[in-house]
Amino acid sequence: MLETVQTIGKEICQWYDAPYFLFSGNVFSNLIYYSHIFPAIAALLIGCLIYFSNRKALINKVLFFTMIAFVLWALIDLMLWATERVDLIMFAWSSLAYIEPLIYIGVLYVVHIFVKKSDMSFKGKFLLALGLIPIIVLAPTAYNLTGFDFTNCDREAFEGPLWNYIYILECIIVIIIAIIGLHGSQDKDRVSQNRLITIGSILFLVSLSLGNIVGSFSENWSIAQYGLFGMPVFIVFLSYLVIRYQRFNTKVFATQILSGSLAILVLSLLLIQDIQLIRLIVVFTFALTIAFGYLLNISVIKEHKQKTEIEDLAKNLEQSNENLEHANDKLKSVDKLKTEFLSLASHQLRSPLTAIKGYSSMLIEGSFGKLNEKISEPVKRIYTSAQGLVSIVEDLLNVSKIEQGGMKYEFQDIDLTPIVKNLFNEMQIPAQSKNIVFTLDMNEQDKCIVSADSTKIKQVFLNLTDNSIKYTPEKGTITVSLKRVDGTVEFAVKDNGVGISPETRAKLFEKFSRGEGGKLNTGGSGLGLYLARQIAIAHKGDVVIESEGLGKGSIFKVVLPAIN
Amino acid sequence: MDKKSRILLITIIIATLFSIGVLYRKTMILHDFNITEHDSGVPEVE
Repeated sequence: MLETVQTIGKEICQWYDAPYFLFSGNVFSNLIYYSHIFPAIAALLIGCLIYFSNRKALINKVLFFTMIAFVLWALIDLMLWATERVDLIMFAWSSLAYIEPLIYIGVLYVVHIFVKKSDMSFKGKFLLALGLIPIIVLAPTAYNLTGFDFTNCDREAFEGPLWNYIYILECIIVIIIAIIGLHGSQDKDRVSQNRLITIGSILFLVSLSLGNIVGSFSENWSIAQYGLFGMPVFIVFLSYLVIRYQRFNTKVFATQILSGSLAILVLSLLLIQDIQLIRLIVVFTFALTIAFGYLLNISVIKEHKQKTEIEDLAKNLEQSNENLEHANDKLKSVDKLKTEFLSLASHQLRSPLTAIKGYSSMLIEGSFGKLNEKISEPVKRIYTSAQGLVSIVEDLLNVSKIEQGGMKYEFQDIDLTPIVKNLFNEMQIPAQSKNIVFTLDMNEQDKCIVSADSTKIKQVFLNLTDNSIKYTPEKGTITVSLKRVDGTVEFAVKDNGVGISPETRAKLFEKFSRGEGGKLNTGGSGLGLYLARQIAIAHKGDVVIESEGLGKGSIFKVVLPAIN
Repeated sequence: MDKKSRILLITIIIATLFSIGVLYRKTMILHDFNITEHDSGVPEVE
């Protein structure tokens, strides 16, 4: 039977041989080749471009797969036009039942990933697979193609009920694409992009299949070819969206696509001889030129506006920079003057203060004769006040040295144990004067050796202990401790004094900061903690404050790197 | 790709290849398809 059909077909219907499957005299118009080969090449090239631009991105893999499915579809469809072999027609036409839904599913998957920015759920994939099951089961049966139509010479097959199922499935997929694309994302910034990919995908699928659906029902297969005209445009459209979707500008993209489409359409005129088709292409080209021209015009005007605005902003910025530079120079010179003044004033103050302290000390010791009780007390106060002033002046001098980078340290490997012991003994008297319970917590077996300037580090310990005594009320408790903790040595002063709020804690290390304790009128310059921290940092350590809040006491720690 | 999706994909691929194999045998080897002839046994030439 088959051989009879083949013989009759060649003799009466003038079927030509197609030795290379795709090329033969059976194809009635070059339009068929143009509408199949050109989109197939474009799809293959773009699919490869996308895949190799980023092989790891899921959306690139899916789009590549979809393009491959489309290339297969185009080649098989072309084979159907060209071949004279009935068995090949039946096999190839039946195979399209597998491939066409795969293209739709591929596009749906691409849109899903693009809009939702994530892979499809397993449930979604399972539902799609369920939709394919009738096709997989029924494609080799008579439900796919009921038979070969030999009532004329057109080498057609009769499509069975499976094809109705396939067309319904494709319509459902297009509806799902529209729903996902237009309502699937809450991200307002990507609304225009999501719309574009939805419209592009739907137009791609419509131009692929509408011609076939119409041809299937009307049996005029020439109509199908016009639908394929749009394929290259939409392939480029979709692919470009996918590649650039992270840095996406709708107008720039639309302009680029339009210019690409114009180039394709104009070039295609070289390949076409049919005058009606040429007219159709000219109409498309004209419409695209108008759209392109409009977009380009808007874009250029906007660009010019933005350029002018940017130039103005740049001028203002330059002026602001100049003003800032002047202000900065002024600030630097003022800062320098302040430091110099601080240093000069401190030096000038120190000499007379030293004299006051010295002579008052000599008076107390009786170097100028014994003082009567009436004079003794005031002189002792003069001495104490002078001593306090000298301490403040020393602090100011140290601050100015640190700011000028002139503070010098004599580092030596020293054992902090005897230093802390001496300090504890020295501070017993001030602590006892306020009936404070003053204890020392130290294990003399611990090796607390650090590289330090012994004078400066003792000053830091003294500062912290002195502060603690000042800010602890009468009958309070203070514990001085020295410990070796892993690779560091920790000196700590713990009290149950006024405590420190979290807001104050951040500011305590600033110059002239007194914290809540400033209200206690304890005297001092507010520089002690600032100096203590600077000295600790110069020793590659730090000062740490811990307090649970106001009224809950505090712990001041000096942490220094230990030497083994 | 997670394990479940991979299993689903492999299952679909195997089923499809099997189906294509059956189709190929039916059409290309057995030529098992219904050829609809014209009543007179000779097609009309348009």
